[in-house]
Amino acid sequence: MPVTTENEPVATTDPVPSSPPAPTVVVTGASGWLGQNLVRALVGQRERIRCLVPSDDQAAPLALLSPSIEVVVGDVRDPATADRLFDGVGPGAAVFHAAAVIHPRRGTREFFDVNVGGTQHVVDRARRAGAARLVHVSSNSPFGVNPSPDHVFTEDSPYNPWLGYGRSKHEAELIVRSAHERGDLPTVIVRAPWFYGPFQPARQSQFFRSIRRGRFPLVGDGTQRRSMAYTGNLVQGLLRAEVADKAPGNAYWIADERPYELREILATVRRALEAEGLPTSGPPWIPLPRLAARAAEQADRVLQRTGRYVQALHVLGELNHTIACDVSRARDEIGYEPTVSLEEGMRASIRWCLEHGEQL
Amino acid sequence: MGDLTTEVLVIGSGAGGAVTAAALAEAGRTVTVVEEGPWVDPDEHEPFSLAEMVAKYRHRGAGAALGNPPIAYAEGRCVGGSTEINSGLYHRLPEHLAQEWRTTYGIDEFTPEVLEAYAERVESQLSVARLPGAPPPSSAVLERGATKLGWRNVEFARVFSYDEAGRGTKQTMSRTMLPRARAAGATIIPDCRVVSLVRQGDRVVAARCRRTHPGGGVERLTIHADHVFVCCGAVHTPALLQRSGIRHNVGNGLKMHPTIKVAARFPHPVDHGDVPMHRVTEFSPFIAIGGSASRRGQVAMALADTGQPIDEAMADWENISTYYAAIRSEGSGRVVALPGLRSPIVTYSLSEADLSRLARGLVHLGELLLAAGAVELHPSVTGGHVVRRLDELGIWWDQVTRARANLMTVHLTSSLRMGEDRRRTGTDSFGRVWGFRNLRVNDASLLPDAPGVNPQAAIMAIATRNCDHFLADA
Amino acid sequence: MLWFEREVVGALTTTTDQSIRSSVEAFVDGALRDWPEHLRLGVAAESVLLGTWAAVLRALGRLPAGDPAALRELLDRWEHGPIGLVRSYVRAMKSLVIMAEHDMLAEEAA
Repeated sequence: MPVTTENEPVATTDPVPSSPPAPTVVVTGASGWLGQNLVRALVGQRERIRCLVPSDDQAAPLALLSPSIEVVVGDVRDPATADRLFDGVGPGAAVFHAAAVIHPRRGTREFFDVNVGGTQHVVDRARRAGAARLVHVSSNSPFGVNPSPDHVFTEDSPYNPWLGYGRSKHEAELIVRSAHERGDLPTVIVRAPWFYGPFQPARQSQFFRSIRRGRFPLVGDGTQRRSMAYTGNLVQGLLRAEVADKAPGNAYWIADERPYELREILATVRRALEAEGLPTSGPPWIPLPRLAARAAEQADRVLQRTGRYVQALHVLGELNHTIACDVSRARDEIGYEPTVSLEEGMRASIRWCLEHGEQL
Repeated sequence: MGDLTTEVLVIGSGAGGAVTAAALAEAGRTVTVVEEGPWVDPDEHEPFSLAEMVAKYRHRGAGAALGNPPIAYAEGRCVGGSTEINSGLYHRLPEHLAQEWRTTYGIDEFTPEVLEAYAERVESQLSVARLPGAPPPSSAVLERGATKLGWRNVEFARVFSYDEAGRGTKQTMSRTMLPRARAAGATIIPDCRVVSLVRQGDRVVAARCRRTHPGGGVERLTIHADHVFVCCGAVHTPALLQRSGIRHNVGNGLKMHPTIKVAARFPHPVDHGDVPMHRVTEFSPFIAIGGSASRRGQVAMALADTGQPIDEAMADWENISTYYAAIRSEGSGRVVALPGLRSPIVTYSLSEADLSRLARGLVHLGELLLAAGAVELHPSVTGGHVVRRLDELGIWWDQVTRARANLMTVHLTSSLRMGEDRRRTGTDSFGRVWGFRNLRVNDASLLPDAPGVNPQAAIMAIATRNCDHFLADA
Repeated sequence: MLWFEREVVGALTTTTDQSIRSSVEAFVDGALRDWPEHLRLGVAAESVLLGTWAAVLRALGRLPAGDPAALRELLDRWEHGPIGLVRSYVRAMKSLVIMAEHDMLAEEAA
């Protein structure tokens, strides 16, 4: 299994005051996009890596990675599963809670069942197990979209949850914060926007395919900006959040160094595809009037109110907006340093697809 | 047909109306209170008994908010209103809610400090106390389970007074505020339903009533008043206003605490006469866990909620008690008074997040009860799995659906809402109905949202505050 | 109380104590009268429809006449069935009967 070099986790000297990393870690969502990257960064660095995955077929590939990996299969909503996940973990462990549903298959109820219910169980068990720290993976969605294209979210921005996913991740954040306030479980929230990188799900291959053929829609003039997070950068942020002394009780935006204009993202992906030997065709994108994206957003809102979720509408609706954040506080307080650029990260992502037989 | 004249007419005698009547009568105003329900001696019926439901509940306890799923609700209909039938649990309005409501709805003079001062005044007039001595087994269960799991829990204070032997008496409105109002000269007319208010421009000049006499005769009565306070609760206050042609933000935005239950069987007897006073607050403000009335009838009804035979469990009913998880809900409802119908139509719509929260509450409740030593858990879910071990609890997530969840509530609020933001509210910051000089609302309808805790403390504190404002103003 | 409602209450009441049986019936009758008009109307309409359906089943020999256990089984099927209004109907009737009966049994024991 290729391990991308960009995942090199921690600098030899800590950039900010930090404590040693925990020898035992618990990772939920370990078979997910981010989880796979995180687990690989932990392998060789930690004594025990206890992983939660939702089904048996996802357990074996992880278990093969290293003898330090212990896989627990189960539903994160189930209190008995949470018990098994923490059984014998012992005090002092670090917990990375990355299990969540972003594109539900059974309607919007799933957002809340998994993202809120799962978080409550994991937080509760982490506290009972005497975990040293819980790092919770959150999102930009509790903050909605930026009010103007030149605005960036900071850690002081107010909550303004965006639809079902945003509301579920907002409530999860409140649960994590309240656990910290109890005083017996230090927690850190890491907010990641749209991410990219190895171990991507099938929907992301579709993203590359449509850009390569010039079929990706660009809403409006494409000057709306998006923060993106290369998974390697994000993993580094998570690991810094685990050890930095200043982190507990706080939340941090973790993304690439700066937000990109949407048209820049598309142009960069086309360059990256060509650099990896995949010639592009057609126009750089299909221009789409903002009206179409607004209509998609409205349709998404109406459907979500009735509990239904259509991924394409949701994604299209969001493409109209700026979702940009400022990572300065993570740099200052936890020593986060995004090292991988957009083009470099996209190339790594494309290589991973090719190595795994994906047709781009 | 009779005619009466009073300075202040208070319609309804529950937590809002009784507090209003006492405050205004003691300030020297001439007060008349009308109450639709009867005057029932508070010692006459055992709490939560069938006889009490017949005597003091509206519709014998069988109210229902229509929706998918429908939600059953209970409210009092007697002198003293729901304070005569509730568990007496007393919890001040959480500070963060006061802050949130103040800014969202633009409520003047609604700081935590102001509310705290009024809460203190209410508490000095009632008796708010914790249980002397050890809690009953049904309540100790909650404490034990929560302690074992490390979940925060508290014994709530109740509006109770205790004698030297430790016997408690619930300080209902008919024992406290209403006698005070009377002593200060107020007149209380039971069995008197207000059909509509008579308007003249921006004033309400009278109330048209139907008074039922003990013999069964019905008398039409018109009560003329300089000032009218409508305090009929979150369902009947908007209904009366609508029947009187007052509709701006009246009856929409109804809120409640939807509640799901478990009948828990223990390997030992539990008490059945009282309602547990412990609450698990670990999941606040989203979910509250507590205990319900568990007389034999309620135990049987709770067991029947799974739709399975109850005989085997009922043979052991003395070992069974009922518990609940109540949620703060994103959904909302409506109260609509239709011409010709005595009762308004009440609807409530739960969001998907609400359903998820109910399922989560049920799972948490199950875990708590198992930790406390319960051996069998019957959820209020048709076809719901009877759980005996922790590893069975996860099944409940997918069983709590719109088609199968059996829900109820005892807290209804927010059908008008107060504040200066007229787009969101039906009254100003002190309960005066928009567009009227002398018409005020002073009950649960004013709370901008369901408070996540028993609302009676908030209702009484806000009602007292509004009375002070009225007295300074008019 | 309509004829089918009386039959349902009879089928759902389990005690053989005649005085309790009639008290339960009286309680349910009072409760139905005391309900909000629109709910009472809805329940009455359902009673007529479901009662007719039960009569049809009896005519076809699919539901034994005068057999409370068989009617109970039918109610059970409705309670777990796909139609929300029918489920609510059974639940409402059952709640009234079960609560009344057991409260009365407790009173009697005390």
